[in-house]
Amino acid sequence: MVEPIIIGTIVFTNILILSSIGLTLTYLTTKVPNFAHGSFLTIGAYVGVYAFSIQEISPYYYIPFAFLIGGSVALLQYKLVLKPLMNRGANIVILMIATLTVDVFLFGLINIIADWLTTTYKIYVTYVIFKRLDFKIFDIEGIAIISTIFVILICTLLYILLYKTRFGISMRAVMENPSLSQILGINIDRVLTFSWFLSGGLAGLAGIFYGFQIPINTTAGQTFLPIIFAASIAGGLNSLFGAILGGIVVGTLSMYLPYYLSRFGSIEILNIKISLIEILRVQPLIPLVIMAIVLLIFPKGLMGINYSKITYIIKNTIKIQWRR
Amino acid sequence: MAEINYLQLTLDLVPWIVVYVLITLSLNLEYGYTGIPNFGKVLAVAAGAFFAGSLSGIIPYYFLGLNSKYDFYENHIEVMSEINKVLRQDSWLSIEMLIIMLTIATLAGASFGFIGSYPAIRLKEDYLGMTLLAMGEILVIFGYTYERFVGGTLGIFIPSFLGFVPLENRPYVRIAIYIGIGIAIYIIVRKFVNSPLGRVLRAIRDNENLAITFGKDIISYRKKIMIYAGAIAGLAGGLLILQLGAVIASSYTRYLYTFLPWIMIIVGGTANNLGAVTGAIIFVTSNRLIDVYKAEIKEILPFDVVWLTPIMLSILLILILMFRPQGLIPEKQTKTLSEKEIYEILNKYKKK
Repeated sequence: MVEPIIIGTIVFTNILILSSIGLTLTYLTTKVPNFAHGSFLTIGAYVGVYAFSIQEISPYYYIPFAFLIGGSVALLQYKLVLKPLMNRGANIVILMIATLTVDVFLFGLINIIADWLTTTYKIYVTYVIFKRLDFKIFDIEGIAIISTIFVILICTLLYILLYKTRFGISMRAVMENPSLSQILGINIDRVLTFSWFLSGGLAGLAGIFYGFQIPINTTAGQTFLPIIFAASIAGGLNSLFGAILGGIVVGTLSMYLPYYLSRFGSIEILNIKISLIEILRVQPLIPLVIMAIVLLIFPKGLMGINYSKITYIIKNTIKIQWRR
Repeated sequence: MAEINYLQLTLDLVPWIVVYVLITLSLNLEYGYTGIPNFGKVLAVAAGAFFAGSLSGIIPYYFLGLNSKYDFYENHIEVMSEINKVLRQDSWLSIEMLIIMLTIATLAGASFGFIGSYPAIRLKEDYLGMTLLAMGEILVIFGYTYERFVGGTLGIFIPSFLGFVPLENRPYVRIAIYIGIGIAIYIIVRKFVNSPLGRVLRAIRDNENLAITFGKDIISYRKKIMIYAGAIAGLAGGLLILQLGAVIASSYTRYLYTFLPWIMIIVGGTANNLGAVTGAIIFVTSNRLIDVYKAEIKEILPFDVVWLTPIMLSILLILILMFRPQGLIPEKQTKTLSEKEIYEILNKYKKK
């Protein structure tokens, strides 16, 4: 029997990895932090709700639709809002406000759709959880397996795309230096279009998985957004592998650590009794605390650490000890 | 058409307008004048509201010796009715408590502004916006998950500080307090912005390197501004709970206290206090009018009309960003000496 907390940690981490890859991808190519990223996740989750409550089939079958719808919404955001603003020479703060505005727009739209579903189909569309239609393999819930397979698949495909294809090379060039790559004849618009579509699609996919773990609400994405930011910032925002690393660190620490600590009951430090069960209450704060600690120690995130320097220091200390 | 009591509507509107004017003024100080994109405005507002809300109940709770009889959070209604009974008879105590409450709110806002300034002085604009947005959620999440701070999801009441005023005069006294504080803060901010310090801030916003070259310590300026703006936003939080009479942590959303102030300063015009005030008045009034006329539109549509407001506001904001980025009232040029005066001074030096 696998403990439910381990399944929960795996699924939560996978959702976080998928969403922070998308966020980091658009940040790297467009240089704009996308505040509307959480709403793409909610859209994906509501595609799942449509499958679950109205079609009465497993939301797994609707994964392609969630990917496509999430991707097209992100694409529309880029084409209709960000690109015209960029062409008018808007600075980064204006673009950030624009993404915040799109988030509010999508929030209104999602609520209208949710209300419409409720009145026409007479079903509940808030606090839905898909667990009922999930399958089980050897006592392990299917979502843990499916989401892990998807994350590994997507990471592999992204690696192949970025490092083995011509288009990937042009994508990396745009991430490094947009104006220089434009001079070299790379079609920046194509790269940006692709990365926004992929980013929205991955968030939509994460939305379907989200519904298997946490009850879906219309504010799901908005409450999840700071956690995505925490993971991406902890990873460093300067590479896609940083997003994966940040997702793993923040996901596992924020789900498993409080559970692990709370098993000890209470501890005494300097005659002050500290009840560790209280940690479970403030669990939503842990991702943000991790982000703050990472920013304090490594301002450039976990991928910004100069690892060769650290290994050099470690090697030297070992050498000295060996000489003695 | 529904009958609208315009006097009642104005009495309801003014406190909200003042609260939002204070928030937009503080955001304008940060973004408009200094160039710090604070996407976590809700942090300072919530800090002011939460600390003032809980402490303004807890201080009289200990002073009146209620802690031997009741628990503050579990017997909350009894505690509050005892406190209100005392406050209703003692007008001076009420006024003192009100002043203490607003001071706590201001100090709490300032200290959370200081916490927010830690990333603000080190990070770039995009990184900073994300960090502040994530930090803005911390206090609100703590407020509704931890019951023994502001009562968790149930919320807590605050003592009624105006209980000694007769019921029919109460709205007028309240409005007088709000308008007084609003005008005072507006004048202070205007003086502040037009002082030499305000010019330094604009120099930092326009060209950081130039400001450094002229020997300005931009790190300490940014820190100061985050603290001052936090104090104003915290005061707004204190005034907000005075209007609502209660603190409910989950109502401090990003939409209400970060997005709306942003849209107000963008529509009104950044780096322009009058623009911030105009934006706040337009938005609070139109929001309330939509609420009033909501009942009539409700029967036609298959969804709640409330959701049309964010959609309309966001479309409006995108259009303004595209076609009129400087806002309704553009930023004024900094006053310099006129050409005639410059020549007079030059001639004086030539003669020597």
